[in-house]
Amino acid sequence: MMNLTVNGDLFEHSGPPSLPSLLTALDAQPDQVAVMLNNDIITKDNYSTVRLSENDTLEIMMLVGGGSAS
Amino acid sequence: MSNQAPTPLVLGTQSFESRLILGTGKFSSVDTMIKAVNASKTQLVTVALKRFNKDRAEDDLFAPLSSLPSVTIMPNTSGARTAEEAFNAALLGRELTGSAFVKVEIHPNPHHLMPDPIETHEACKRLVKENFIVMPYMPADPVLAKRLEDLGCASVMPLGSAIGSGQGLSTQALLELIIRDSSIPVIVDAGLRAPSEAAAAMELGCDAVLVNSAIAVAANPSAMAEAFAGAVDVGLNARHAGLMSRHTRAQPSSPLTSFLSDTPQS
Repeated sequence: MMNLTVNGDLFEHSGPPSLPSLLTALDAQPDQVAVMLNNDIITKDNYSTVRLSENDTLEIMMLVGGGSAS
Repeated sequence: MSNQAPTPLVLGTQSFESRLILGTGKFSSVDTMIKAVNASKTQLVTVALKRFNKDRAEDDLFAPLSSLPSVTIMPNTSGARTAEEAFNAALLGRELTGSAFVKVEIHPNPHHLMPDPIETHEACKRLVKENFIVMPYMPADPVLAKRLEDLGCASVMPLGSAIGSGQGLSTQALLELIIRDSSIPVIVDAGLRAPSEAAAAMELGCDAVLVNSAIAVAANPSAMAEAFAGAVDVGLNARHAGLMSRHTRAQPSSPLTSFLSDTPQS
């Protein structure tokens, strides 16, 4: 079990310490999200190589409709 | 940029025939939004980013928008309250969409949603250095507009009136000053309610308009999108045709002499 902060909330991740594993646990489609790990953007080609560590902070963002603060 | 020949709108390295930019928020469904995008013939749409929440699933926007071959996606930084947040949002938006366009939008106060000029300037400075095509939403301030142009922004996007207010071109006098001095496209962003206001913005000398709420919340969004597209063309055509000057007093449009009486009128 690994404690992460995901989008501001604590998340206990029980799978392997990889980004694909976390995205699966969150039901997030990898091609529909962009990820920041401890303030660094993780590009898609690095998804499989990046290793998550205890107390990492992640921001996982998706596209939504919006023009101006809607 | 007023009085130019009818040429495409050039933003960064890309040319656009359409001078109507659409926001994608507030539509009742993704399908309704896509239909309105098609009806508007827009070639540039802006999308927002938000935190993924598995308990509140949202329909994916990227797949349906990126399937429209003539439409470029411009992520915006809506929700950012600082330059740092906007910078990170822009990087995430580029990672998600592959688009170099970014609409910089920083408004710290949800009550009035006025853009923060200082944070906007700082974010634009950083994003130009990262080779984004930077399009800042900004207060209608001619001094700030020149400062943002000097940074290398691709356009300036002053507000017509407050976001979602439908107050039209309440900043018209300031927009005229921005247009007069700008060497980059001036795009009115926010506040438009009626197609006639989009036509008026184009007649004034704006290079494009960005519309969201007025189309999204219309009873028939596709029909309203088409109406805005027509209005933008009408306004641009009128500007190219050369609008007559304003006068402080009446000017006769027919001769007032030698009609039934030999006494000339003055």
